Amino acid sequence: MASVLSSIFGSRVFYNWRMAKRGWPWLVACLIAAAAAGAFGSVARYSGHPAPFGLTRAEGLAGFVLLAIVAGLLWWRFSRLQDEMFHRIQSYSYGWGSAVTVAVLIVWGVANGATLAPPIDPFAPLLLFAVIKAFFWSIATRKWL
Amino acid sequence: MAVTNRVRELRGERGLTQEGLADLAHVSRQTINSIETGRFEPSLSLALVLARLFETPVERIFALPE
Repeated sequence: MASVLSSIFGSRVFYNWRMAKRGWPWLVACLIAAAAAGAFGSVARYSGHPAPFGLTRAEGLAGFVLLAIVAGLLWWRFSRLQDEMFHRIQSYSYGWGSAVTVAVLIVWGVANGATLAPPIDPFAPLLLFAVIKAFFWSIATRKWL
Repeated sequence: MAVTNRVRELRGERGLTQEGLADLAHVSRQTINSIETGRFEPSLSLALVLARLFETPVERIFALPE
């Protein structure tokens, strides 16, 4: 267990961000947009009354989608300025992250159809993808850095 | 099949640091370090950039093991 934790939280985990010399303002803007998207997402998911920030769930969902797209575009702009090591790590983690997320969702969906698992939360795929992608990102950084 | 390379040797002959070579090739120092230690095989375009910087044919920098 200790070795697993060590491999996940080792010194190279999540990239050596000093390597990202160029374009870091895009990264900061991306993180701000992603945080704002998360706030709107929490409104969209909130079913109680009164809704946070005085927004309806539809407005929360619209804000979430819009800011998620903005965050994605900002990340794309940031990543374009990085070197091929970054792109290889990114491709590896996004590829494996997507594949494993889809596999988990298929199994979950089948289990739900057989009443063996609860319904999938609409935001679960995003959370799953983020966690799985981060895991494969850490593997890629250990592999190549 | 792992590709061998002479990047460290050629860099040393020219008195370049990893940081210096990385700046010239527009990549990070860690990328140069990973290439030198054999953990990372560069793309063809980066290999050609290194060949141009070292003024050496690319096949004299990178090679398949015998």
